Amino acid sequence: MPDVLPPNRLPDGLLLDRPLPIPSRAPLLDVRGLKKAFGGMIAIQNVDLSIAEGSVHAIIGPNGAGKTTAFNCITAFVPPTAGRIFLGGERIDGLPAHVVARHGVARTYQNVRLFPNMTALENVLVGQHRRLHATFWEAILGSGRFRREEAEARARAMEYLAFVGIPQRAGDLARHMPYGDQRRLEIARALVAGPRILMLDEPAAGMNPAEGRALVELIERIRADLGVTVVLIEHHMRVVMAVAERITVFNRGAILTEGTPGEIQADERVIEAYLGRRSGQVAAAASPEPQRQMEAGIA
Amino acid sequence: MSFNAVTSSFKVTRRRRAPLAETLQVGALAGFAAIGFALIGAYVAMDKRHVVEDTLTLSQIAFALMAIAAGYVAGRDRQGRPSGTRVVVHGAVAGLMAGLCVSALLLLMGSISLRATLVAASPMLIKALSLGAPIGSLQALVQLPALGALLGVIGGLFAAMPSRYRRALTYGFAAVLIAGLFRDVFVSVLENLPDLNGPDWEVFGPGGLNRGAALVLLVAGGLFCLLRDRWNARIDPARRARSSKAGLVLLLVGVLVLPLVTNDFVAQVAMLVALYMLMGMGLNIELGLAGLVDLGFVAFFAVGAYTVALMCSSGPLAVADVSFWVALPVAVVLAAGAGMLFGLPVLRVRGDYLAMATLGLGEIIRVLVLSDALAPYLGGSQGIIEIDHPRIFGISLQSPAALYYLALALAGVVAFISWRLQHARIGRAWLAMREDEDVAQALGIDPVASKLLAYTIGAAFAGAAGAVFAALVGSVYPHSFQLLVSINVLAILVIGGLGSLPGVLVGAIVLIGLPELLREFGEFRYLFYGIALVAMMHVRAEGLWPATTQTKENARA
Amino acid sequence: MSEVPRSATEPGAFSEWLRRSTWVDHVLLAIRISVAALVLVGLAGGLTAGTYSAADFVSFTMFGLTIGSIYALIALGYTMVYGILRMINFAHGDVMMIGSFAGLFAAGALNDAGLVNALPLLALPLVLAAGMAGGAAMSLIIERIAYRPFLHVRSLAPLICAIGMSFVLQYAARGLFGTRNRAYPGFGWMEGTVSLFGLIVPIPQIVAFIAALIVLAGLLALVKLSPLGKAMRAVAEDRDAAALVGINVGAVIVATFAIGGAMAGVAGVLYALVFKQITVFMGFALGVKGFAAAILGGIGNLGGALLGGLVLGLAEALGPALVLEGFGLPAPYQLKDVIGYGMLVMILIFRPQGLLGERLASKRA
Repeated sequence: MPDVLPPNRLPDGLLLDRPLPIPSRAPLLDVRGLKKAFGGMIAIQNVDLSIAEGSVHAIIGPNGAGKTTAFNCITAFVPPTAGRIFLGGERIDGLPAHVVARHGVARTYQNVRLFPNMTALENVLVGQHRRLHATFWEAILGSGRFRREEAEARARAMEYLAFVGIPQRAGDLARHMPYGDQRRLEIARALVAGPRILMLDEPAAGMNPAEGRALVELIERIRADLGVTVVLIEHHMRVVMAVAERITVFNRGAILTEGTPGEIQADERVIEAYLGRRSGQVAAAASPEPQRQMEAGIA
Repeated sequence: MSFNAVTSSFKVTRRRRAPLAETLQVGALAGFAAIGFALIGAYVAMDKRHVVEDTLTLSQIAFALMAIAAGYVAGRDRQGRPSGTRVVVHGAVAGLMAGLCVSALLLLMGSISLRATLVAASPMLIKALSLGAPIGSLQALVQLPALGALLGVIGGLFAAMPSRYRRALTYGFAAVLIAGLFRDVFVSVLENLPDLNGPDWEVFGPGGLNRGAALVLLVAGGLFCLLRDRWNARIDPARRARSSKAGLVLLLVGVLVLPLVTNDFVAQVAMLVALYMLMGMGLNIELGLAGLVDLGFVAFFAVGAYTVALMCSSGPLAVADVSFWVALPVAVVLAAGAGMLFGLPVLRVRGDYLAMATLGLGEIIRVLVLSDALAPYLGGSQGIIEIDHPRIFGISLQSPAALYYLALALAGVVAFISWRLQHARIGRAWLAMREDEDVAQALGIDPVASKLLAYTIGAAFAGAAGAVFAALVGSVYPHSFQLLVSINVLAILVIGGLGSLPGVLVGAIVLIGLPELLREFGEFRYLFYGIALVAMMHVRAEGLWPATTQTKENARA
Repeated sequence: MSEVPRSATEPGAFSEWLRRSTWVDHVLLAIRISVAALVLVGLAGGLTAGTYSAADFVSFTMFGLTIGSIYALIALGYTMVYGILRMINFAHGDVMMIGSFAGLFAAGALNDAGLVNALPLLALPLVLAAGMAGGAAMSLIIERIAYRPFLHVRSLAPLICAIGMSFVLQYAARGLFGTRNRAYPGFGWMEGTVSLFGLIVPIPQIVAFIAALIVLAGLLALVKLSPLGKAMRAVAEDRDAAALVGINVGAVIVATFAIGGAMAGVAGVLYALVFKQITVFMGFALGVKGFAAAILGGIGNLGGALLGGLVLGLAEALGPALVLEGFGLPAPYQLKDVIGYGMLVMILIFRPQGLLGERLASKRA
């Protein structure tokens, strides 16, 4: 992995309104002893995660390993049963989801969750909620500041739509958009809030190889141009291996191992986790899907 | 669950029975509807309203429509275009069945007295259903099925005719019905106009339309529709859009001049419509934008009304005697404060708790106002009287027309505010919350704060409406603040279209104006509201209105 | 992994609360403290005022338990439907009203036949059965119209539909049955009181309380022991999973509405026997209170419905004498309903998950 990030390709305009962070290896997100139980069922436990600022970090693992649950705990979608979560040194566990979001955590969802009856532009405008400051009274009276801010918000929304590559969709209702564009819109909506960390839940699901390559390129630009740290859950190994600096492997609600893509590819336990205890033809026949993915990634 | 799941997978294809059995079922359904209509007392009440003088009453039309509808459904519900004989036979059978049901009711009422249980099963109903034939005679029993069969055939033929003529007939009939029902309005308008009527030719009789006028209207309505269709087919869509915009302007002009061209009664009704519009705009922010089902709306209405009553009354309970224009902002602020205080605990729990909890709130306020404990301050059931009318430039706004313009102006202000908010940060947050509360929160929107803001604004608008109400009625009593007020407003929104400002106008006219003008409806008003709410949800609610209140099981994923 | 940064300054419970709480929690705390203070002041005043004797309070308590058992029966319908559908049946109170009128007509017919006087202990179950049938039938109609069509849709449509149905029922009943108050004919033997352990108790209260207990026991047995009960619990837990293992979810929902409606019907009949008058508009107030009882106990929890009903009944019966009297208010019994509705708001302020509820706090994750 290169220690020096690629040079900034900063586009013109409003896209970036704070300086790029100096790439440091200090953890931006630090998770300690995270545990979540649904009733008697323990979904995850003893999860320690450390995400370096300015990095792209992938989380992989078989279905049901607890990856999304960990995401949900970090973004306060569900309250963790135990453990602590720090963002940039500040504790964020136990805070309501909107406060966590205001600390700079943004996310997308495994099964795209846009506001279906709003246009793409409106979706991105909602994403700017915490960046806008015109008060209620200014909105009613239509003050200068309110109008200026609205115009800026619209311009920024358009820029972010262009950034993810769907400027032509601005006026379309979210539910009428093709699936791939919906995923891009979701990323734009998350980015426009100006987060410090972006959490992508299976962004490449349902994408073909070409779209996967475009996604890899987009994630690179998010990290490089916007300076946003990216954590992604992903099954497509090609994408993971192409984009991630570090990979954490989940299995059965706990962390199996963590390392660079090279280390993970070489790790026997990872293959075993995907294929079952007895690797080989029997297990492969029983679960062809993970094997295909692993082969696609590792071969 | 993604939003694709919004479209229901539950559209059950109707099980096909033997055609005749199905037709009989349709007829029986119409018959039961007719029996229900009669037994809730609607038939006798609406029999007093003549649509066409001495010829057709409203309840006869209602019954006829049921039979025609049965014939229409029975005639239409086949694959492909219905053949002539089939339409006639099935229409006749369905109508006959409906008529037989009513005849059976007539026979039953004639032989045993149902009045101990069913208060509407009165001799008056028997007389009305006999249609002038001797009571208990064979003719009375036979004529209903015969008429039913005839009307059923008409319904069947109606289903079979080309849609162009069907629409024309509907227009003509609607013209007659509207003219007949709103005779009083039209008569009052005609009286204010210069005398155009010839000396011996009157459009309206003492009860309804005259026969000749009805016939003319029927033909004119039909011709208008046919001509308009031809006109529309020729011109391009852009011009049509312009003409529909012209229609909207015409409607607005009509709304503005209405009280000037009619009498005080109509102006009074118009004032009520404007008042409900004001409330509808307020609830629209809560329900239409933020998706909060608030049935305690009336509580804030009461806060506003009592504030103005206490501040502007010259009676013994007054705490101050100031101008309406001073009391109005106080009322708004107090109502908003009450909304904020009450909203906080309720709004952080599930969305549909809100309906129940706010229901409780409305009742708490009403019971408190009514109680002896607060009677020394609020007058108990005696209410507060002698509230001064608002004055503007030294002129006292006293006439219904003046107060109508006052309410209308406030409604306009509120409409403007809600339109502005809808297109600002907070309005987008409300819509997002309604679409998907979890995702909205993950984007940094504080759900309780934004709901509370919607609730507070709604309460403030309700307070403004209450203030106007107190000023225009001149007195307030606890019984003015029943749950039904909240239900009225809710129904206005649902019927008019949630989140749409013109919808509030249309809803208020349909649900408040029409029943006030049709006194016979008064008693059954809420029954029809209920039916309308259910029907609206079935006809156009799915997908149009995805809401936030459902469970969030999918968040676990 | 690296060191866990906790040891040095382990925060106390209060600072932990401060860290997690938002302005909403702070305002709420203020509201809670003021409400609690208000109730305590009233309570102290009421206890020292001495307007009522101990015997008065005992009779209030008896009455509270009776009305509480009726609330509990209504609450069951809310709680069962909520458990299965996660929705509130807004028209449930009116189902109770219909059940009450069904009982009225059954009582009228039985009285005309002379059965009520001849065999009073046979007539009562028959009237109850009529009430149950009426309530169940009406509940099924509501399910068919307001809930089934929207089963797969996330929207407010069922709630609006149920509000509409509530008004259809009230005003159709008004047109059909008229607005005057009515009483069940022929139940004269219920006039009077009996002496029980030295207490004087009106007969209808005992009858209603015992009947409610019997019905509740039957319902609990049904839910705990029968295959239907098992299916209901499975659907309440996870509707999709239940469907996957072959449970007919639609049928379970129908059965739930029917049972809830039957319980409401029983409540309607018992209410008529205790208060000796029914009107077509009674469903509204009783419905809201039944709902209050359901969330007081913890909605979705059958035992909670029973507990919530009894607690609400007691609060309503004792509240005016104990709390409101303490403020020296004139005619505190006029404000009985304020206590009932106020309880609803108080639960939401203090413990939205209810007394026995844990699972379904503010929202399901």
